[in-house]
Amino acid sequence: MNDITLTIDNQTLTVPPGTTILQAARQIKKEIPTICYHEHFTAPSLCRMCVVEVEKSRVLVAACSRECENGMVVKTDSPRVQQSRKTILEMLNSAVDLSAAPEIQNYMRTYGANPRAYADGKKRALPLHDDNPFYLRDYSKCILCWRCVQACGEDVQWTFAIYRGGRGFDARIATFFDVAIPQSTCVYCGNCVQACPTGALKSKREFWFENGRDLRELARESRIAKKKR
Amino acid sequence: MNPDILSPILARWKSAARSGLLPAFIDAQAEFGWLTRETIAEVARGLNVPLADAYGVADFYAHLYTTPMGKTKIRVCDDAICFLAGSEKICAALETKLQIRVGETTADGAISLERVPCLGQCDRAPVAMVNESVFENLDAQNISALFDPIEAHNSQATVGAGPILLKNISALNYSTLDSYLAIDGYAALDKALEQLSPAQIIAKIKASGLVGRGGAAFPTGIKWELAAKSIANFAGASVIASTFASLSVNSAKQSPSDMGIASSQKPLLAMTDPLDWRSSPGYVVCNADESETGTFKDRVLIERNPFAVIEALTICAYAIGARYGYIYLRGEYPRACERLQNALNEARARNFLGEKIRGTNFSFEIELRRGAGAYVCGEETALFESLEGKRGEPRAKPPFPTDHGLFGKPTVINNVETLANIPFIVLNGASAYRKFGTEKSPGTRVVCVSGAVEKPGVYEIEMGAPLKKLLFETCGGLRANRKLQTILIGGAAGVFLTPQEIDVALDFQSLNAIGATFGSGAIMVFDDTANLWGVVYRLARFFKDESCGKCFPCQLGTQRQFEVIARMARGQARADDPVRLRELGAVMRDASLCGLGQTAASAIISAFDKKLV
Ligand SMILES: Cc1cc2nc3c(=O)[nH]c(=O)nc-3n(C[C@H](O)[C@H](O)[C@H](O)COP(=O)(O)O)c2cc1C
Ligand code: SF4
Repeated sequence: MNDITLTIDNQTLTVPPGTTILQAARQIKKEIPTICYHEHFTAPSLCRMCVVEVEKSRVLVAACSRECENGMVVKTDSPRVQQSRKTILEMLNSAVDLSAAPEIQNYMRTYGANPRAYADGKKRALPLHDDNPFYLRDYSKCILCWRCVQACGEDVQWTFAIYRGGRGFDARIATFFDVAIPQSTCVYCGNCVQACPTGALKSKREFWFENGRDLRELARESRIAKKKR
Repeated sequence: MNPDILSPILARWKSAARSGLLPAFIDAQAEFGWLTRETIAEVARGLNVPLADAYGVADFYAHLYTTPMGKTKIRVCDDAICFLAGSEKICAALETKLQIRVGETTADGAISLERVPCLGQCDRAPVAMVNESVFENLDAQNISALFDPIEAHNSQATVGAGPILLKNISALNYSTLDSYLAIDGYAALDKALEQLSPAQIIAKIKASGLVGRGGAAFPTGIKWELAAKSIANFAGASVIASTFASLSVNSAKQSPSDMGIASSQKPLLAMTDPLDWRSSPGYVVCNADESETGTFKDRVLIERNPFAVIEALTICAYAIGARYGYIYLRGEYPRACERLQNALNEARARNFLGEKIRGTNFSFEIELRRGAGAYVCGEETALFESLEGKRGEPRAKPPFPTDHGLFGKPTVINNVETLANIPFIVLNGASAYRKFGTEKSPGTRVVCVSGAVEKPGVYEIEMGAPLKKLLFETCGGLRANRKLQTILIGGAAGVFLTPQEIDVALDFQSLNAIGATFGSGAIMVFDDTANLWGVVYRLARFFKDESCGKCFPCQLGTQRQFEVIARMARGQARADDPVRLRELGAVMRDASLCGLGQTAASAIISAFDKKLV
């Protein structure tokens, strides 16, 4: 198939077929912001941070998954695009604890998102799951990017211990009937923890470390606890 | 849990693999009242689905329950039209009678009471369902009617006679194929099989100017042509060519090369392959998930003439080279389900469906599937996901269904009403069809009128007919001679029109010109007594409840929009609320992944623009 010629932010470029708008923009040093996108996973194109304006398209287009077409005219940073990104960030910040997501906080500054917007809106304040020896699940930090589900399932591990539950604002990541991780099919491969961009999944060691706990002291404590049991 | 109950269910759906998950859940729930952990695990194992996935699917659909529920489920509609007809009083009366609140189950675990979105019976509001029975025109004073099974199913929608789809509707007995044959039923399929090549059929549909009636108004002929081409090109082989080569009925056919297909290509499928979903190179799907607020025309079309969509799907399958099709019917339509199932059986028994249809080498099978309470499953790609046994989460487009649809194969998906037009066009030709309607919007449109008019119901009008005439002549004007306040056209995803705008002609172009759309064909009429804040509140609640939660703009935006509207409806608006609403509306429209989010603010914003609230 022939190469494809398109225009991105007034620059004309030629790319091989199958190139996404995101990849094409990188070639001309235009960084398009992304949240859910991960180089090695199927792009779920759900965070919609990477939306761009494409001439003749009624709605904005997700750059992470849309392939370039001949004659496409793309604007990666138009006022309409910026407005969408700003509102997405404001809504996200009002629903989820982003304190451990520095990249998203950076985007907030870049797009002038108001951290107080929708401040009293419903939050996804969910209990912290501390149910296994290896990692913590703090779903009040979960933005529902699906990366952990992808890592656990078809994109990496083929273990399928977690999936999506609920729907709408109350969608969530869940094991089978919300059972604790040791009761699930989890094999503790750690791929989900690696993939999480917001610190919702965190290795226990890292958590203790950050909280100034002495790991040797912890080990001693747990030995004592075991004996008592 | 009793394995003797579950094993026949699993046996029934085993061959469908994961795709059988939703129907197996529906069947199991019918037996047990809700889905226990053991039931879900057993079904998941039987169909080879990971446990977490199976739970996530059950948790997605509003009518699948993973916590204890009564075997008797009372569902009261509380969307716009039923609300104005007194649904809140119905709920209150039921709460008193059952001694529970909405959302609860009686102490003995027998009866559960739920508030649900529009049930598609708006012409006889207020409405409730008790399990599989529909109760219309409810009266809060006489709530015990709901507990008397004889009361159910007693009324029919008002259906006006129309030129194409509703032409012979009163002469037709929905339950017998002979009755359908007597009004020229299946004449189009016979003509297609005997005299027309697939390419000629597609050419006819294209020439008719028929566009989709499901909302997006995409040209139907072009959709079929795209799917036919991708099926032909699929894996470099040509199923169409093989269909052609083996169809020996008539010599009038064109060669496969009219479709750009080399006839020398080797067929992908031998005609001896089993007639099942796996071996079909592509699919035809009838979208009968009709869940748009205020819409009930697809239900009426199916209930009155279930054979028409079956014939149309069969013609479509022949035209594009598919061997398997699905009808995805809204779960809340039990009567339509019964009649469709009966019609499918009749058609199969008389060889209008199945192997070697009408003595040709063309074989085709249709499977009827039911939804389980999710408006978003009407979105075509969410519908595919649902058929595949997954959560009804829409896919990013492109790729489009004609290339990459159900099970990743080329698929045509059409609305019920779109399909119902097909037999007429095939039988009478494009120019006969174009005699109806306008130059740019040929044909007719089936609309469903509800609310404050004398004769709410389903009417087939010619495209271009004035809205005013529909309201004041066909529907008999406003009840009790009240004054018109506004009209909501196109359903929850539509726009409000002011009394000054009702001179508009009902065709795609005229509606477009005033910023409106036909949408689903819903026309909801509100008189000057209607509490529009109550209506707008329910629109916002509808989208919040029905968002699938996949993409950020809609998952978060529908919730925030609901919060702002709820505040304003209580009279507690804040200074920046109007600006916030516009921002939310803009991000949902511009950045949402599917049409649900893209239109979630449309009606609400129009109500503000037109100063109705
Ligand atoms: C949220 C949502 C719900 C929809 N619901 C329906 C529906 O119930 N019935 C339908 O025919 N189309 C529905 N559609 C439109 C379908 O996606 C699709 O466009 C249609 O089935 C195509 O058929 P047509 O070309 O015959 O109109 C819906 C779209 C969206 C975004
Ligand atoms: S727009 Fe709404 S319904 Fe559609 S994919 Fe996004 S969250 Fe789901």
